[in-house]
Amino acid sequence: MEKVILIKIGELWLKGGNRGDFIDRLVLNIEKQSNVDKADISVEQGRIYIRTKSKAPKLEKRLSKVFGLHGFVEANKVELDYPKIKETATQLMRDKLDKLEDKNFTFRVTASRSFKEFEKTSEDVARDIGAVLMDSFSDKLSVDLKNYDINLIVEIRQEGAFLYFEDDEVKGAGGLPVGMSGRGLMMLSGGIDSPVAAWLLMKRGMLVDAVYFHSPPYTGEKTKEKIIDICQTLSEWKGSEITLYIPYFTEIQTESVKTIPDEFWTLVHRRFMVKITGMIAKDEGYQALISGESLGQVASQTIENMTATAYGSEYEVLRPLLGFDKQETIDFAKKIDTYDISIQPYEDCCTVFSASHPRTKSKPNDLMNFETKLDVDSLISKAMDKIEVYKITSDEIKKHAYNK
Amino acid sequence: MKEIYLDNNATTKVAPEAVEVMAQYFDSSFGNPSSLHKKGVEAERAIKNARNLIDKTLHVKTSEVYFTSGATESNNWAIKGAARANKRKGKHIITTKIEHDAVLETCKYLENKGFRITYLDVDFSGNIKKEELLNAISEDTILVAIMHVNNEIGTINNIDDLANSVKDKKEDALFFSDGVQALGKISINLQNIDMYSLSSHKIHGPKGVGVLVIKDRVKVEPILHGGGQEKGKRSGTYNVPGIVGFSKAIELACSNIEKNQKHFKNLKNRFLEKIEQLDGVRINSPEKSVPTTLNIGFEGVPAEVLLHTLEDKGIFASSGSACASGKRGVSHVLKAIKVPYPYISSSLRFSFSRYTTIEEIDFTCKVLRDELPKLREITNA
Repeated sequence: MEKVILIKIGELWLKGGNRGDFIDRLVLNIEKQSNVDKADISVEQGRIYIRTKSKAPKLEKRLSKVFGLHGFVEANKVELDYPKIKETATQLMRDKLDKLEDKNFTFRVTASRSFKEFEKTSEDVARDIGAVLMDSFSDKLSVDLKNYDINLIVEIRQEGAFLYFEDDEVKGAGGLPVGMSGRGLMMLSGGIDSPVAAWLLMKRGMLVDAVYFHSPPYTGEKTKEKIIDICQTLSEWKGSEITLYIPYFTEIQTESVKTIPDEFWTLVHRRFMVKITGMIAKDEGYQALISGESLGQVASQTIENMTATAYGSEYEVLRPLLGFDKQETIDFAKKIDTYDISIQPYEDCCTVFSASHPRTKSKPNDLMNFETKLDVDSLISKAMDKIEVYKITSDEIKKHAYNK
Repeated sequence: MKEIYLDNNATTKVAPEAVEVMAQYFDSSFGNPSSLHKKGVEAERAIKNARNLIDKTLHVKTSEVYFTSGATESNNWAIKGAARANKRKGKHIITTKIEHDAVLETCKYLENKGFRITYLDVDFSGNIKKEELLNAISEDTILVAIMHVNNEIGTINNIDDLANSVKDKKEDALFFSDGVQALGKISINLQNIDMYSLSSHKIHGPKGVGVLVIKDRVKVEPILHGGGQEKGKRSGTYNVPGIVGFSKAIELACSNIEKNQKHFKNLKNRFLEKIEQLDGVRINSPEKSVPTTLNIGFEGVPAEVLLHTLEDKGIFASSGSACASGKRGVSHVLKAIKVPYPYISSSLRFSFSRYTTIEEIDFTCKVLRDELPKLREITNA
């Protein structure tokens, strides 16, 4: 008997001709993210297996952060020898019952047979193993196919028989393997929403990096630290380092507030953010920008304002949270471990530059007219001249030069 | 860029002399004072020496000094320990509205456990009114907790006199004082005080060490149980290097206290002289306060923005007490002394140490003079 992690890949089966690419990418991500030796991962008959000599304690946690994985379970693999399979089933049930405190359980055996040359049908296997278990544990077990406490699953496959209990199965992160859906650049604010938006697109296979607009002295070092913490957390889901770009945003804010009415500040600043993020996307080869906006959540996130602030952008602005209520976003943030970082109370975009009554319906032309009063190019080039770049993983933060 | 550290009420640089004496206790003399062998005895000797020095400085008995992990533990222990040991006598505790959070939050905790807490108001200078304190004392008052020196504005309470008056009115009421910001800055007389807490890292000692003085006559329940260290009252392996470093720091701070006080006064006077020439400035610290703490309001400039502006020039100050500035909202101390609206969220605390120089003060004031108008131009837009 051998322990293997059996990985279920759900949606990837639908990928037809590209299936091979998806599986290859998934195997690569599993290798990187779960620290498993490549030699221990195998793909057989469209299934991914990881051989585990001893159950690595962190493996389960790591695997649950690999996108493209529908679920996984530690199964017991035995050769296709009927007496051995029965023996293993008995052994597993004994171990299981030893762990449980109550005395009486209902159970069933669910068998499947993809290897048709095997001598018994799946009904035979289920019935025979059920009978063996009843013989051994008649004092504790009774059969109930519908309302069962324990479900022993037996899969007969060409490479062997796999036995495991249904309740040992762990739900995977779902989605598509990161790397299958291009590269996107997330505008991170330090709030609750943007990390969730980044996560959702990673879940659909996008390689996401981030931009944070730093505005000293109106935003402090602690806020930057918080952004780095968020990137560290997200990098575990991405499975590779996150590049964080930090343009210098101060002058854009201090100059614009001199000539522009306060109700438009936030919107004009957002346009600058979209422009600068677009420039980085162009320099560094990203295909889309990502924003954490949710429709109507705050004054700057009305449909009119979203349109006006992104108007003229060469890149699509993806807004995966558009349809989310705040509470739904919060629930996600808690699930992906960014919530506690996001709620640290450091000033994000300092209140100095936000009006008490921001305009809720602006037109692209309004905002572009304000821009004519500013030396937009020079302000943007100043922001880019002082850009800082970090490459961030969960255990390392490296400062980098901007590549352009 | 040269760094100017004016946040010494948050924490201080460890004195090189303290670092030097500590090194041995990480290395060759690493023993546990509770061990019976030579290694243990060596470490125990170091603890005894440290204790002796603290006794001499504070004029208390050796048996009255208890080492802790810092002032938060000392404050928790004093209040919870006294409350639990005396709850049969009564369940009333008196404190002030401008205590450190380690005192206020502990009191709030006890409030939820059925104790009654009176939070005394303070006047514009941060002092309580003695009549109000005495009026608050009732049959079931078991403890009065009033800080010696306030950490945000520097107000000094005459705890000797207050304790004396409390005892006159109710002899068995205990008087506890948080002395963290007094040590090394003013002279300390604990004759009438039952319990007094100290912290090492505020006086150029290492972090993670503190003291609670508990007079022998006072009954306090332990809050940490275990190996029975400190006569069974405070269990936990001794932080030997920390205690050695703390004792050196006390020696350095207190043996030259007159000289240091003179230096502090020069720094404060210079700062005031320069800052008072600027517009839109309000000194929140009272006239009679420790010379190491200056809390100043700057009209129309959010405190964090000014803090980061100074940081950019290498100057470190505080926008509230360091532990509290992570929390949003207005300082409970500035609120209690009724700092008016345009200043309350625009105040910074500058706190000096014996390493601070007049040149550093001059440079800081020059930066303030240059930067404030620029900031106001933007923040008033």
